[in-house]
Amino acid sequence: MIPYPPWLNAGDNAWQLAAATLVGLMSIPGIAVLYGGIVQKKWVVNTMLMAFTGFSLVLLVWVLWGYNMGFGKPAHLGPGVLSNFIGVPGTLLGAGTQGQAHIPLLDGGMPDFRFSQATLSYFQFVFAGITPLLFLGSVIGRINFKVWLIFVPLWSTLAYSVNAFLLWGGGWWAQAPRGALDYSGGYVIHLAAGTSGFVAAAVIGPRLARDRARAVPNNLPMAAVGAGILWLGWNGFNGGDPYFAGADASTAVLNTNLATATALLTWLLMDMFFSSQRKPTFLGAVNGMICGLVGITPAAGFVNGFGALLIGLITSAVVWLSWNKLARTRLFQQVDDTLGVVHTHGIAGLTGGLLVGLLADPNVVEYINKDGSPFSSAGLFYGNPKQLAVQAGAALTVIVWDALITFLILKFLSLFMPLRMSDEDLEIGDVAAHEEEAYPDEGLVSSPGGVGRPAAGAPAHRADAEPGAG
Amino acid sequence: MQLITAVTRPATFESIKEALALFGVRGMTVSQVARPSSGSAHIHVYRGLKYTIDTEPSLKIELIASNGEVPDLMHVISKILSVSDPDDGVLWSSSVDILARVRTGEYGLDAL
Repeated sequence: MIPYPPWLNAGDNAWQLAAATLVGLMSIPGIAVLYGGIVQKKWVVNTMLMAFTGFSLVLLVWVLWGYNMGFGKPAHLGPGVLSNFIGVPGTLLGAGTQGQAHIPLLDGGMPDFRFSQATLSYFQFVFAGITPLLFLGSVIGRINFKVWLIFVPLWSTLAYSVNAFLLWGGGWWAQAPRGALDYSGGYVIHLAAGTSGFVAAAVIGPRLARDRARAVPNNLPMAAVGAGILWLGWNGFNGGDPYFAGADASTAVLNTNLATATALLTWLLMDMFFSSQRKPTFLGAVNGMICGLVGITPAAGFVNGFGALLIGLITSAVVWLSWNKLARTRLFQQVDDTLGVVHTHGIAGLTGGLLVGLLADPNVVEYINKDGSPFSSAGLFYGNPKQLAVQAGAALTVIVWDALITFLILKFLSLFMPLRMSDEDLEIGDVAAHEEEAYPDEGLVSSPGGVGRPAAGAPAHRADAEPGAG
Repeated sequence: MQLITAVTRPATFESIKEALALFGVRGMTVSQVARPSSGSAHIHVYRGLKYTIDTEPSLKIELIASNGEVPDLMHVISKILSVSDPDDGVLWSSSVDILARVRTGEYGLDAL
């Protein structure tokens, strides 16, 4: 007697939860320490705290209304696309999440899920959770923390849910006759983050000129830890998205690592041969790594190994050019995207999403349908030229919608609060925003135990001294 | 009494320490300082952006010696510097008026 319902397959459930955990690790601590190691020392705490809080805020939004807006019953707000772009908000707080997972608009069209609703919604949460953390990279070093706390729930609700519903919730772009492909979020996550980050950086304004000129990293080994967690965590990111712990999951994992290694080496070699200094750099290699991971994300389970290799190579080369050449144009110089998210996530995600329109191989089987037939997708090189046009259309939708929503949310918030910290606080950094710094020096602390708590054995003194005075 | 100060590359410190130990001198103060780079400025590249760094880390070694010992000690240190840090090593002495030796409570002109 198996102690769970017959529709539940322990292997599928276990892998889905393991994959979700790997993706969660990519946010916490992955992004937190990758960004934390790369930013200048005075913004480390601010950066990491925005990562931890962003992740937490999305989870609350997700279970209160967000998941159902991305994956639930369609909200009929008009004809055509207006009935297929967002789901009806609803909570995930009841015991019903122990039931079998369903995505209403996909029911019947693909094999039934063999894990519970809680598994599916947690899995989808970690993707929703990492997306704001990615565009965090664009606004580091000046965004008002209170603005972050309100922006994230609003953006997740209005932008992410729409992206997800259109492409993964059985919405307009996923439906026949369009059939847009986004395996794990090249568009839903990376193009979305790159676009929104760029717009936010433009609206909020740049860092202090002095900060921009002196933005050296503070801890490269810590950045390496974050980068490593991202790379291997992506095995869950792409390996979990077929929803079945089957052969396509394995294909996705192998393709992911292949594209990533290729992309890392491509960037490295381009630095060695084409950069002005002609030296291989660690942070360049990490950038290449990220481009490969992002580029393969929309394609991982749709392409074969050769396709993965090409995606790694092309995406890395394209973003290297955009990072080193496009970034020097006036528009990109004016908009201060602190960590270059528009390049490594926006342009990389767009490139990957278009390449899958060329390279999707019908011999790579995603799953077996109920009638025993294999389900796969084909791109232009395999006789399906329409796919490329569909991919371009879906990309345009994500770009326009996300840019608009980001702009509107920030303009709305600017009516009630400044979007930037004050210039005074920007000079000081973490200590002004959080009264903490990344590497406090105990030798410089003047009152042991803090204000109001006398050192052991010392006579009690009045607790009205200012911290750090004397 | 004189305060002898040497500023040199960090790698020179071991030689100076060993040489002074042969004289029975162990007490000194060492601080980490920066000097303009010997040669041209260094270029660092982080994430594709170039940063110029034209100072390099150095060590400042200070010790107090009685007037009689100063010439010998400075001679020894300058010999080491001329080998290990000939272009940028610096050495000078300045006069010390009063020394307070905390351990013995001595205070005054002769408290060495």
